[in-house]
Amino acid sequence: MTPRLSMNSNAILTTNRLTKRFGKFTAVDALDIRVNRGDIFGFLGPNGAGKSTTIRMILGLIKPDAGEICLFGDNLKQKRGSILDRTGALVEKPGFYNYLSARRNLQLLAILAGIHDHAEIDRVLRIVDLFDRAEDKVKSYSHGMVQRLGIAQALLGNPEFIILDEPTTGLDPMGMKEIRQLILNLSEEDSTIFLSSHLLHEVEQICNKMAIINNGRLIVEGEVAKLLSEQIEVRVDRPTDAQSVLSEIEWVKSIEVNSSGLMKISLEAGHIAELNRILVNAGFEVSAIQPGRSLEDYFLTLVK
Amino acid sequence: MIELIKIEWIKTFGKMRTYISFAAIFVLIALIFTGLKIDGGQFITHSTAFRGLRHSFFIVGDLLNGYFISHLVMFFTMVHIPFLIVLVAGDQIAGEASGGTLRILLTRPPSRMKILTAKAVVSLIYSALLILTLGLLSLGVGSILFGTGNLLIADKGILILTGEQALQRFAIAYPLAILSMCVVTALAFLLSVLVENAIGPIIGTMAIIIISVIISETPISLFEKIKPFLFTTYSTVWQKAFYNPIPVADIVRSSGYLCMFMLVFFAVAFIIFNRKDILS
Repeated sequence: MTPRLSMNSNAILTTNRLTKRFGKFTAVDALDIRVNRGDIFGFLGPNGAGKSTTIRMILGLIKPDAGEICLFGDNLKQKRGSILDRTGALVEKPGFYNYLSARRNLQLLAILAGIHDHAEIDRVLRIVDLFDRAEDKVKSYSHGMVQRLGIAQALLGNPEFIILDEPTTGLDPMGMKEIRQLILNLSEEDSTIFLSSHLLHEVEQICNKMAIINNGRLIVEGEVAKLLSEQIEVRVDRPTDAQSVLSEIEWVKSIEVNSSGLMKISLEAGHIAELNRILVNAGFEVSAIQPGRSLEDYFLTLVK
Repeated sequence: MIELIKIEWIKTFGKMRTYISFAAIFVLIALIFTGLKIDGGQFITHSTAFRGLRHSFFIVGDLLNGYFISHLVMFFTMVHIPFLIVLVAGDQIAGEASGGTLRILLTRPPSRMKILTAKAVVSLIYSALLILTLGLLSLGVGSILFGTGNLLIADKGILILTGEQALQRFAIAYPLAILSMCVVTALAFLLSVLVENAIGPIIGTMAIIIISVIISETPISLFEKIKPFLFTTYSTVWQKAFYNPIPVADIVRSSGYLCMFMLVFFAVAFIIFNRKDILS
């Protein structure tokens, strides 16, 4: 799956020095993030980093102590109703009225969002593959089905901005894959996705942008491809000669050649294509250029 | 707003728990009726209130009729009705918080104030329906099973009300009983906003009521100073509908205090809920 790049710079979500304290503990500390229209934005951080608190503030469930949140260009404090009208959310493990059917649950939530079209309930039930079980009470649902129903309620009304907090929790590998594909499909349909996840490969596979927070602070934010491409692995026909050529270049920070002849190159972001051109022009046969580290390596380095 | 109330209505009356209270009232009234049908004469003979009466008066006819039984049922059950009310009112917010549905509700466009108002309205309707069920069952079924007649009330003195007068007094007493239970509803609602588990408001409300009733009913000079500030001091106002003459000023004053308590409880609940961080 190829991560999508944002096509424009229209900000859907911006937070400005967003801060939340619980007593003496600062859960979120002057957080600035920006999500553009069309982004699939990965929101990463270890447990207790402040991800859920941030999401709850974005949705108006928790009131910030300082800073501000703007969605669709409007301040959340002033335009909460109209903002939430355009936003769908799954916040952690979804809860439903177990004594009611899935359809009834969705109907109640749809009415709250001003949606009275029964076809919309069918649409979201079909998306998450629960249409055939729609009349069953939620108490008969498995954990994975409840999770999918949670995603269904977030999709009611086809919102422009969808916040998904750990959407694949409790799903089997097939279910996880389906949800990832669903997120990509939603993004294709012009929805902007804010995805909080512990599964780093999930973010790596489907997100085009990401932010990593730790101890409530933003550590890094940017395009996934750029952040991961700062260290690359290059395979050429004469690695030792290539090392000599590349070591002269200013934006190449370091080069290591391992026993199998693979070059591990650390470089400034945005120079991969140029590096390839230099090698080819110098007569080297470049057989592979690939990201030299996974998101997991990157994440662990940053949060240490 | 009407739609929000409809949603809360569906949620509240879609739950089994809601019907436990109605079932309890049915069972209770059925038991009292059965007992009195089988052994009603014995009850009147051995009743403390009427034992002395039979020594002093020659009573013609049967004291045991639908009105008498309805008054008896009201007297016995009103003390326990709060428990049935808090089962639902106490669950309105805390139950949603513990079930994880509150955060889904609050991420929808309607404001917290609107959602809470809808919940408050449905809780009050539920409480009123419970008291009305009690009244209709005891008066209606009681009159069919035991017939109608004069209502004899023995309290500080003896009051004999004709059937028509008795019905008028019930028509005053039941709305007052509803008002008094609405205060219990508001208190349970307030505690429901404060905690995030459904048991807390139930236990908390009952504990407050029990302590307040004890203080209200205990003739200790220290307690006398506290009594005016307890809603339980006024919650037996419905009983005054059966006094002769009806203490209108007293009833109006007590009702005013009950309204005030109810509004304060709801107002505090709204203020807290509006500011509350939803962490559940």
